[in-house]
Amino acid sequence: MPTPPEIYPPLTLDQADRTTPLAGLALIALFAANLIPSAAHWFEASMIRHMLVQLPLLAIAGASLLLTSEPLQQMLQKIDPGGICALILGTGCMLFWMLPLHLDLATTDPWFRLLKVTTVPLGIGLCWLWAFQRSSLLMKILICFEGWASISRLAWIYLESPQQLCSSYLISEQQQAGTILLVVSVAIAVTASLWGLFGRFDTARVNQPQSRQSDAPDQKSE
Amino acid sequence: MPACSTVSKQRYFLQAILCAGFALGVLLWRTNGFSNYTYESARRASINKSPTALSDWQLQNESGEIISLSSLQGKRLLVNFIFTRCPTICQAQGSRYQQLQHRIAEVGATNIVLLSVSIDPDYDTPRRLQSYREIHRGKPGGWQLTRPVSQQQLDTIIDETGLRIIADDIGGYSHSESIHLVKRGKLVSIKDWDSTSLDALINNADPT
Repeated sequence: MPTPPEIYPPLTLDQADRTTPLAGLALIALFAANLIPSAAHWFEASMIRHMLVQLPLLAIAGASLLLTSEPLQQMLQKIDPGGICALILGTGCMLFWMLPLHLDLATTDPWFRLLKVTTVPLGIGLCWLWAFQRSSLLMKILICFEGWASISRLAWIYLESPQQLCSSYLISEQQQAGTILLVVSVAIAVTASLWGLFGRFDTARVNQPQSRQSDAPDQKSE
Repeated sequence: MPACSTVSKQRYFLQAILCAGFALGVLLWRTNGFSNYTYESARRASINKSPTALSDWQLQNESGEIISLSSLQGKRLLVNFIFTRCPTICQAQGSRYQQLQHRIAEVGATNIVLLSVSIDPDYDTPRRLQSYREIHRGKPGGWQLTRPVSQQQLDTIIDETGLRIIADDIGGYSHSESIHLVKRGKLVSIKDWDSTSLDALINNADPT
């Protein structure tokens, strides 16, 4: 079977190459920390640490794995060039871990803890980043908007629910987590609105490529 | 999303359908058809689907006597979990049990026994259990107020029922408020403590 034409340019790994050893070490440390019971218990003892620190860290670990591994990118390029499968699996995985039932089980069942440590980095971090990178601009906007809407929905549910949703955490902790999510949601909304009204803030960064281009002929002439 | 070549497009579409089916299947399976999202609802559904056999719990009642589940064999037990210094839900449950006890006496359903088990056995001495009954104006017959004979026994009870108990901010505990129906040594269902189905259960019970 003829190989499909390469539609997408390979990802830029210039920066990733420089950070590979550090990111790799951080990744191993994070996995180890989550598999060592005492470290895992420290995260899981509080709903805020569990949900708003440990899970995002695991997702970041998965995303950094994708950024730092060229063979992984090449493999994904072959099996999921458009990122649709990653988007579906990432969404499914996110919904799975948004359920209070699974958050609860991950605090007591060692198999669920192992499932969390493997599926959150791969299913959420890696899949979402891959899907995001392969998406069109419209799809990227939709993903960002849905991400923000999910944070807002969770904040609302945690703040408004009269019931204790997670059996492992008190209702007061649930409301604290809801407040933090609400603050994050409002901060995102305000930042996005300001960005929409006044444009990007990091003008220096925007101007960088221009200065590089202007430098190039000088180097050649030298 | 950018398009693929014609040949791989079909395969890719199939691949995406399989991924969607897998994700949906896992979510359907785990939530029991999108009906259980919390641990408590999943616990109830699991018990209703397949009743759990219980070991012969050893409990000490307010008179200091040791009773076991096997000694209550042949009775339907309505089991709740309390701690006497709880200022909120355990007090409401005490009143509820007093009402149910009154109803049991009216109907003459002596094959139904109310069983309150303390989750704080160190604090809840027989004397304190007795005070709890007095506060809620409960009568002696048909309602057993007990505590597990040891911490190990409490752990066994927690393990068998799937109960979750966590320490709260005011030196007490947060725990399931539900009532557990035990029949022939098996935990057969879990109901809300204020469910009207408990009254129906007593009303429809055969007087013995």
